[in-house]
Amino acid sequence: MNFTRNTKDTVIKSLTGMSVILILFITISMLAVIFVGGWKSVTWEFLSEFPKEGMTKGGIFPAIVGTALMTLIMTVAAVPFGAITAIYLAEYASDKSVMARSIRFAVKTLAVVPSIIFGLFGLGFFIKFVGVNMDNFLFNGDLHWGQPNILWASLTMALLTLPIVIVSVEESIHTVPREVREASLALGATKWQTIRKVVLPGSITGILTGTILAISRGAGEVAPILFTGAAYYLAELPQAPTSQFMSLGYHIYIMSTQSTNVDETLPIQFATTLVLLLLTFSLSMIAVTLRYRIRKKAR
Amino acid sequence: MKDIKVNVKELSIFYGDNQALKKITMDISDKKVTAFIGPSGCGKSTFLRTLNRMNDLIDNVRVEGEVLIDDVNIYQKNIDVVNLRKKVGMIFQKSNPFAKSIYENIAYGPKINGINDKNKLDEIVETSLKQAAIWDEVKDRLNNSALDLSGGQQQRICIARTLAVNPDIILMDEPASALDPISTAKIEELIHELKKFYTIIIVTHNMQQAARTSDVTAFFYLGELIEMDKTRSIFTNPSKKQTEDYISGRFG
Amino acid sequence: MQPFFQEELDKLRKRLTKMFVLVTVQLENSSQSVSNSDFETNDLAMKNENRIDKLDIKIDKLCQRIFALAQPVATDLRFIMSSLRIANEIEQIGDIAFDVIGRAETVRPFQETLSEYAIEGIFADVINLSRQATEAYTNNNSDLAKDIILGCKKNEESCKTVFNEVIAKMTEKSQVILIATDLILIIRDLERITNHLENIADSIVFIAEGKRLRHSGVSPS
Repeated sequence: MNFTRNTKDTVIKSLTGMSVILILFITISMLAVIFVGGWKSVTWEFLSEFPKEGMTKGGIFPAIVGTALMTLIMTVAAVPFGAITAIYLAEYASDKSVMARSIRFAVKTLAVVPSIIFGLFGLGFFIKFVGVNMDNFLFNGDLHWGQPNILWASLTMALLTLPIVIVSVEESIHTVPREVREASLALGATKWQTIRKVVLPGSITGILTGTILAISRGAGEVAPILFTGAAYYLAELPQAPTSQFMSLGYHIYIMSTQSTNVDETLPIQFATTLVLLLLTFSLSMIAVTLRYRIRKKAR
Repeated sequence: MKDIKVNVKELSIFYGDNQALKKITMDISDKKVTAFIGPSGCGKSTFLRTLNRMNDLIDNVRVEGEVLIDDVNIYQKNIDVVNLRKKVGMIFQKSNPFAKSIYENIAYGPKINGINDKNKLDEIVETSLKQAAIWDEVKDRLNNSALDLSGGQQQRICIARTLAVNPDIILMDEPASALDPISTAKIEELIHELKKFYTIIIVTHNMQQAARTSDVTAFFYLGELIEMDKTRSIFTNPSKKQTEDYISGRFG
Repeated sequence: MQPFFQEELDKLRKRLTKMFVLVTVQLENSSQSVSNSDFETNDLAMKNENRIDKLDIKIDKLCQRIFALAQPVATDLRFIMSSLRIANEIEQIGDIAFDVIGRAETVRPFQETLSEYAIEGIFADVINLSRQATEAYTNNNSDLAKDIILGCKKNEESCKTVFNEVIAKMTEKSQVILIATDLILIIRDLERITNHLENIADSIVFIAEGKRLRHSGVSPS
């Protein structure tokens, strides 16, 4: 009897051990390939110059700026809206109300929608509907807003990251214990005062974590910005919300599928991928550190 | 000449279909300590929470009857509950200081009442901490987090925090049940001092604590008020057999 | 559900009842020592006296223990307080009864003179009252205790009457003076015993009702 139980144990241990090793192996080899292929090319010039000679030489500066700007606008759009929704769900709505249940259902659904759908939605709604109507109203039909630009791309991306923000903000609000809310109310504070002075300060780290997770997701996604604003090559940085922009993710995609001179661009592809990875990785690390700090504080 | 601070008339509370309190009628005297005792689930904590309408926070709660504080029914339509809670403060079973500095904890109440003058706040903080008998222990570290203090100290911070809004009545829901004997003794001594200025109502499952600290004791059982009398009478010669059985350990 | 110290309370009741029984026997002894000319002083009385004293000490310790460990309240508290007092009163009754046996030696040979006074009757009443007190304590019968108080007051009157008679006779018949001093002391002893019995009855009422009649000016009827 004991013998078979022990063997079962060993078998399971070995299987899980093997899968762990397999996963580690795959991850490490992926990273290694990228690192080896690209590290030599990541120079200061690479990071600060425009692409030259048909993307075969030069740098990815505009892509970095484009990604940064898009991410910024996306954050400004998604975080306040998401935070307010989360506060409403966590503090004001009764869990059984139709409103609360609809919002939660919407959030869950949004979270699993494939990112290309967001891209199509962005095209159809922001560009073809909002943009065109704005043009008809403001510019008598001249094509101004009714085309891809950084604003529409950022807003589309914001929709993608909205569920992430809502869920992490709501989660972090829930970590504020009920007793502390009761203490505030018992002192004669209104509900809003309690939220502003006790709940939000207490959940700020969680809110930050959610924001950073959203940012790192948004920085890397390509599909939503495919038709809504990303461009392969621009001679100048985006000047206005109506400008298009370059993005790291899109750059990698285009170079790897449509480049004319694969051999010359290969190192650049690796290098761009490496830069993007480092960017998202460092953002995630910040999120992890913040989360660690929250756990420590919540003795 | 006894002043009646709280007048409860036929108070009943329903959680859905379940009646948690059954037509409670009692008077609570001003500047005295009244203790509520009784076995678990007898309704004493529920009753305490009706006095500052903290029960409003629970879904599906229905209140019948009247609770008059200074002759005003706090359950009538146009009552400002926020104001009520400034007048009737509450100390909870598990101390719950905010994750802020000691100073900010005490200043919280006055600040939400619109007091922003630093000097005034400093004064209130010092007075409250002195009244709570903890000033000497923390005066040199007011900017440290309140969470760094021991359990007994945190509870006294919570008391100081409540005193800072200058209530008339202080409700205490098993304030020392999570504390060691020495901290408990300090809290009890504090109660003894505070009753000179405040009306105190304390819920406790520790009968000796009720005996030590209160002037009047009320015994609850299954949502009903069984007996209420001077503490010394309840513990030497109670009128109801149920009270006698409970306090001498023959049930509950 | 019984409190953990119920056993101790039962022990206390048993011990005190035993004390009651012993003191009643001692009272019978002292009655015999006065009224029975064949009575011979023996160590039975001494043994009783010692047993009563020992029980008093044991009860004291038991009550101390219960107070310290159990923090008794209400009826339990009154029961233990009263048991302590009662033990003390019984111990004093025992002492006095023992003294009477000592004094009786001089008086016993003069049975003829003694028969002129209602001494035997008073003794009988005292013994009866003691038996009643035993029952009232064991059964927590406060009505009986109130009857005992009335009985004690009546007995005290009888003692005073006999006392006056003896004093009167002392002036008439000089022979009486021989035994008169001891006789008077015995009567006084009986009065004191009755007084202690009254206190005991008062404590028994206190256990049941939480009120003291003694010194309160309230009549037990």
